[in-house]
Amino acid sequence: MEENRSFGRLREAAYQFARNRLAVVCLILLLVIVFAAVFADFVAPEGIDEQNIAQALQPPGLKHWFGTDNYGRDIFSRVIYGGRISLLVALLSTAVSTLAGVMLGAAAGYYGGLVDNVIMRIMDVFMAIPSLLMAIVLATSLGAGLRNTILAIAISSIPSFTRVVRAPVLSAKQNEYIEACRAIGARPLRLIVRHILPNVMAIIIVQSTLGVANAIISVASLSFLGLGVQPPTPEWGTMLSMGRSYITKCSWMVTYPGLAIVVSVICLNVLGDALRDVLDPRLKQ
Amino acid sequence: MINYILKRIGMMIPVLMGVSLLVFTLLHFAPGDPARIMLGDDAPVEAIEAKREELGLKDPFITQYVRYVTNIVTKGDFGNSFKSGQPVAKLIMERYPTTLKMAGACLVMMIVMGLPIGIVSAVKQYSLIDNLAVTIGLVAVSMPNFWLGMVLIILFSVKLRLLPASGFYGWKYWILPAMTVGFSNAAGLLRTTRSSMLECIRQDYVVTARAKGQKESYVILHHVLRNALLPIFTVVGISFGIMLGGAIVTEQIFSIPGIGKLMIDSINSRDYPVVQGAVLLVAFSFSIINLSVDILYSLIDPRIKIQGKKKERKEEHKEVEA
Repeated sequence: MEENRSFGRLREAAYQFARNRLAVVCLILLLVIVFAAVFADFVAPEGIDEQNIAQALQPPGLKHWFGTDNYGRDIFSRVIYGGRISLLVALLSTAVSTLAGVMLGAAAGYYGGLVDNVIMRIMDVFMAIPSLLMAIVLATSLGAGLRNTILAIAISSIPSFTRVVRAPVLSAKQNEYIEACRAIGARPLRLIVRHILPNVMAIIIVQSTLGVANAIISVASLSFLGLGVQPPTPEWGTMLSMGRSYITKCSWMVTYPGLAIVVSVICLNVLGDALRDVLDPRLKQ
Repeated sequence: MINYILKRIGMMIPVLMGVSLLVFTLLHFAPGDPARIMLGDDAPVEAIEAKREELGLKDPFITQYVRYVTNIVTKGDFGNSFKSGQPVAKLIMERYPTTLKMAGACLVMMIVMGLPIGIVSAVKQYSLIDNLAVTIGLVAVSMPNFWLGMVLIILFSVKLRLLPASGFYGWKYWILPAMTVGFSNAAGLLRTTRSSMLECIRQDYVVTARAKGQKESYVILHHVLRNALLPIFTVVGISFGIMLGGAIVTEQIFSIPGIGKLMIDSINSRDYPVVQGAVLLVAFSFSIINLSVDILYSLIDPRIKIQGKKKERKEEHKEVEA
């Protein structure tokens, strides 16, 4: 019975979502990007480090859609392979920060008092440093590389997730059915997981969609500064950083990796906004 | 009111202490031995040991931290650069004005681009201009600003040869960086202005003002905008703080000798005292700006003074923005 109802709600949400044409287009585009990244081995015409100096710095054309870089590598292929790294880092770091943010936010909101105070004061400290700067400091401390980049971005975005989750948990806690649950002896963990979090789910989903978008930009920024993913690994930010030296003559080296970032981030932002409208009509802008 | 301000300043102190502990800890455990960095890789072991002793690196971590903070608070001494040996405070203060000026220019650019379009967008809701503005806003927030910077360089410096691409010598050098940062942040301002104006535009007092026969422009600017100003004001304040932090990337692209470039150069040469000082200064400015926004906010909005519930409300607001 209950499953039936939630299925009906899901279908209604899907129907509403489908009416937002821009969001559907973005979803499809995003799926194409993800598909290309996952199956890069089959999709990309060339490998990531097939150097061919004779073909270096070719402008975009029929043979090389996005042109070639200073080592003669096909930029189109590298953008596709780069999507793998950029999206992977963004997804994983958002997953980590969402999980941590939900746990901390729920604990702070539910228990209140000392727990809330300790958690939120620590978050205040993190929030006192702009998040990109925080990620830079973390990356400096942890060292460059894929895993550390994920960690740096994840940790720097935990505070905003915590705050976003805490507020609705705080208000969901006031509901009478929560009191009723407590009265029949439900333990806090069960209360939070079964009764409070489902109420907050919409916000979490929306926030993490937008979070992935932000993470893509953060990864690219860190790599651009030389603190994230290291060359020769193709990643959109490192490609931009390399292309920077050729900006005057070979603008395609920066144009295409950047476009890949912009398109993915726009799609995620549109998707996030559409999900917000569908899942939580109260938040509709 | 004074109580409130004092309370907020009081609350800032533990946060700043926390920030200093966090940054100090993170950079303390960063890879690289300061003594070796100062003396070079081929220095004899004894010399390095002596240097470690001299720098106090053999003391327990807590002792080092307390000494660092005490020096900052009592003497304004942020330690010395590993590389040049100059006081960090001096290096930072040489660069900071540039960053502040730049952030100011970006802020002006952001307001110039975001505010008028946001107003028009709200007044002519669902019109062509509105749709266009909302779309451009979406694209702008989705663009990493270092990429936008490079695209602007390609466009204005390489193709059109109108503006210089890097350096910081005269007003011409300010335009591209200010456009880059201003544009990305203008999107947020545009969205807030639009939604805040839309909230006010349907209020009864607006209808009354129109019914009195007041000119439309007066109604929009005087009755609607004035009431919609608070969230706009918050966004401007917060953006200014973010611009100080975001300057790191922009300064890198345009080779502006500000604090962000100093920071990245120092990270690359593992000159941690400089990094530490620069991060602390940015965090400090960020906190001061947020505090001033809060205080001004409560001065502007009389409702807050009466209710004294300001903090919660603004936090809610920030969350919505985020």
